Amino acid sequence: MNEFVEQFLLESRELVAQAIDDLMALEDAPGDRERLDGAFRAFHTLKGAAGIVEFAAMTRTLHAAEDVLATLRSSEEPIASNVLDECLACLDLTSRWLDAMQANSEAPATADVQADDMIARLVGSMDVDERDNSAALPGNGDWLDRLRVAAGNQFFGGLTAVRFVPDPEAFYKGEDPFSIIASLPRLVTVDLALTNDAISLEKMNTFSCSLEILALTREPIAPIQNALRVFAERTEIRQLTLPPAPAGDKAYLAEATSLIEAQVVLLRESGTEGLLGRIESAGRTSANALRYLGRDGAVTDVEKAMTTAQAQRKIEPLAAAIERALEAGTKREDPTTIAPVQVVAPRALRVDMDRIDALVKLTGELLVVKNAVGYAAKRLHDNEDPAAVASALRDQHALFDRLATELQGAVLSVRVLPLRTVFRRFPRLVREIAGGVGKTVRLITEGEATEADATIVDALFEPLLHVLRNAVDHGIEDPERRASSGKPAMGTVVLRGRRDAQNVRIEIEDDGAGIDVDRVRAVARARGVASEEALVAMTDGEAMDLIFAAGFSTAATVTDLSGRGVGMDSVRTTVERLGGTVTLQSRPGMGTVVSLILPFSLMMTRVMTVEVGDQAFGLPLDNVLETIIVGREMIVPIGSGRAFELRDRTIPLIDLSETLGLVRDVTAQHAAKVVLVSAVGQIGGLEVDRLGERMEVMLKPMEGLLGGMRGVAGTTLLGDGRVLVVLDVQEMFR
Amino acid sequence: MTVVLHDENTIRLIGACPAEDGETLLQHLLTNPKARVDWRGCQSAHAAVVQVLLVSGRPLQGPPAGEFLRQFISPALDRSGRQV
Repeated sequence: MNEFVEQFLLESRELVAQAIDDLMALEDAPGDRERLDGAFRAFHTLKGAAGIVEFAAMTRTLHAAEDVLATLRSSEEPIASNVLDECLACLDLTSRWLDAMQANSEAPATADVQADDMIARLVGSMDVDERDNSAALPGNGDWLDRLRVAAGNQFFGGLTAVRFVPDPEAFYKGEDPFSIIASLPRLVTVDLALTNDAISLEKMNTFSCSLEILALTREPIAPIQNALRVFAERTEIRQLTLPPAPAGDKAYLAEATSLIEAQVVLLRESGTEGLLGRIESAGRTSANALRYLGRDGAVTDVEKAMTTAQAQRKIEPLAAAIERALEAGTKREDPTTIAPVQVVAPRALRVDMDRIDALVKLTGELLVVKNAVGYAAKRLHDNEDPAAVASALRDQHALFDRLATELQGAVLSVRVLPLRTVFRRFPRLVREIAGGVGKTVRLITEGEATEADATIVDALFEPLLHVLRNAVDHGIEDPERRASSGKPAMGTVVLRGRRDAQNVRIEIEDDGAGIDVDRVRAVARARGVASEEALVAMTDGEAMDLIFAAGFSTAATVTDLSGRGVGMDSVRTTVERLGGTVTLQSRPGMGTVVSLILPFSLMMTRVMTVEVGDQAFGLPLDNVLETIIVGREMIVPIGSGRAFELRDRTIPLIDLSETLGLVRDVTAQHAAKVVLVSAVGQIGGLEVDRLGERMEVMLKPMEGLLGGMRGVAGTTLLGDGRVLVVLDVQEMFR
Repeated sequence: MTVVLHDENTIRLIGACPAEDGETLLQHLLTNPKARVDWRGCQSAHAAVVQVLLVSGRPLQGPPAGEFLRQFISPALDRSGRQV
């Protein structure tokens, strides 16, 4: 990645964050001029930055947003929330572009289309604002409601709503308001009403227009505004961004989709018999079904392919077009979908000057120690009293030790970021997710100032989003159900971060229905996640933990939000890759708490060394519970393994030398030295030959040919130059 | 003539009905209070004509021939009829 782009990404992210902060503050206090100015400056600078790297789509979009903010600045009115929403959506889009740029070093190909859409939304949001304040039209607040009724099951996705009240003199002037409405592209529905209820056949003047015409189209707002430009005074136009399809229409949607799927099957049937007829029928049916789904772009595509297929007397072009349409349908854009951009750790980091200064100071002190060691060596060389030199060396070592520890701390603090950087993206996303499933949920964030390693903070977004999405979608109940169980209609989700010794603990707590353990068991049984015996033997807590198992998803209805084929298992995988753990507590009717426990830093690991077969291995101290000595007579074989009993619990025992394929120390001790470790939510014992010391090490991950090696967390060098292999305990008990 | 009184029970709208037809339609409706309107032959209708239909709330015999009328205006009139 070139230096410019790197700098651009770094700066842009900061500006986006700042702008989001300002906009969110404005949402709470719409009259705060200072925040408005701050947001305006951030957008302005962001636009400039996009210009430098020649990211045209981003420049255009931000320019539109800047215009909106400039208008807001010059107006005395408090800021309408829909305008803020669009500005925030614009920042969201920008963030996604930045992610894509970071992953691929270039602007995403779809940026232009997305920019057009976003600009239309931004312009539209202001229009609504202005019209609301103008008195040109007789007000009629419920017109959108009427359109919703008129549109019925077509009321989903992106729509533009028009309210047109023609001039009463229009008919005299020879105008036909219908011809204007009929000329609007991609019309969905039209509704008519009279502006004067008292009108009757007896008293009416047929040349005086008393019509109110409402229309709904799938066209974006800008072309519609353009088409109705002449009647701007008499029209009210609104951009509606609705969930892809309301829940009640899922059945229709599924029906239409399966109808299209059936066409592909029909086409692919062997034989050339009635080929043209089949093409015609499959093409027409698919086009109609797609039209019904509001996918006009795909309709044109399919119709074109049908003509080609007929001309070539081949089914392929059409079948391919229909399949394309199906595929696009399943990946429909929705604002909470985060494009699966590969997580790439940022290559540059902003660091507080004070922290750098601390490093410089430490370097100076280390140089002093270096000189002192050199001096001691010279004294030895000059045959001075070794005892005196040794004493001086010990002092220097103590000093060196202190400095090394300080240096470690200082370096770590350079790499930390507050959780705020990831937390702040959620309040809005949660609101959108909740809106999509017809719930109201507020998100409370706590402990945003808690710091963690930058790599960890950056990697947290995806798993946290997934857990939050689950909390909103499955945890929080419908408003009716909440009311009937005496809870407030608005659900609460708390996102909490705190430092917990060497770890960072993040909790996501909802006040929803909790997890139904019986259903978890039933689903696990049905999907073959765990065997019948295992299920019976499990405690409720262990059964709940199955939610994190691969191939598990409890949602009875697969929704757009959570049912994407990635379950909570992806959360656990991501967190464990970062060296952390995920646990879950749930109380029926009270809610669920998901806890992510992550190491504060990826760099330092505390390990305990053990020896087997004359080799030293490290075990991460986070996994070690205690070390005990177990008499041989206590160890009993169970199945193909061995186990022993400790405090009324049966604990599986793994012989480390056997597992690692080493030769057992034949001088079989009469008692086994066992390290008790916790792994994958359970406790196990590792039998070793000798217990070693504890130390803090900087773990080097396995690289190159050994990169894919399982069971090894990494390596480090011991004081005597030997390589210490640190084992991944989780992997051994899997 | 695009608005025709077929019999005392039926008023027919035929072809393209311009604004002036609104007045003719109104007169027919007023003199034949029980008449229904048959617009199956109607290709297009000026908003003034449809406004008369909307005010009258009379039953319509359809669907009309014109695409825009059939797809958008007819359902809108149906809905307003239900509300009355």
